[in-house]
Amino acid sequence: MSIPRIYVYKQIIEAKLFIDANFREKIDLELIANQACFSKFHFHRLFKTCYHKTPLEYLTYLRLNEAKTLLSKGVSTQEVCCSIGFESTSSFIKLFKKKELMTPLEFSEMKKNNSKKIEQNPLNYIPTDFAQYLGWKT
Amino acid sequence: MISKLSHSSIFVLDQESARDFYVNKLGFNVVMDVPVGDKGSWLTVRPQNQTELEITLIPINTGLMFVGKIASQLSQLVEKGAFGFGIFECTDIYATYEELKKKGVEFIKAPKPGVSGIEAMFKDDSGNWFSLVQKIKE
Repeated sequence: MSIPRIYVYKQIIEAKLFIDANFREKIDLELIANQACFSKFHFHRLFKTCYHKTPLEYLTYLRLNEAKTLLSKGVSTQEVCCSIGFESTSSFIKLFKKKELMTPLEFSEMKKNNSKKIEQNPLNYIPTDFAQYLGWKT
Repeated sequence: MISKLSHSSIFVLDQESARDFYVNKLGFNVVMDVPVGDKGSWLTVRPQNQTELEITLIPINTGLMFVGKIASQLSQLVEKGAFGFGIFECTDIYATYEELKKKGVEFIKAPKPGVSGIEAMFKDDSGNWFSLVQKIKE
């Protein structure tokens, strides 16, 4: 007898929510697969069917997103690396550069410059008609 | 010739609550967040895998757009669910439905086969409703 589809969904969703809540920790995807009562291969396949990303791709996506948020706030590369569950700074920098085509430091500098420009002239970044209708520009 | 739609607006009752809903519940990314003094922000979001189109979360509070009774009338209409602002697509509607429900998103309609594929409907934290569709491959 096959497992009811809804049960499979619930297990995969639980696993995804676990990743959402714990991606900053050094989590082990094999352990998550086991806890969801799937083999590693089966978990990988079902997760990809549901979310069009493998569990590892999804975990990496969340970590890099968080890294970009922290770097935008001026947090150092080393601190970011520790905050998002990466084992080594060099592997984090390598992955970040591969995905974003710049180093974390370059990204941080770029964001700092952008923030300064936005702070100085916020209305330069808002379509004029909307700014006027919203009462932000006369 | 119009070449594309780059921004689409959604009127929200509380911009910070809307940010939380769209980012932390629906999992959208913030594209632009330009604070304009104490008047709110030019805040745009979009689904993780979407490029180009930005959804602007417009707070119903100040400005020419909301003179006189317009703000209170519009707020009431939004709260009453008078506006349906669009159709979101997903790769697996049953998984998305279960996950969003678990995160506290209110569904008006559970997934059912419809003309566009398998369709569901949910509300945002203000009361705006959206269709959620998984297209069926022909």
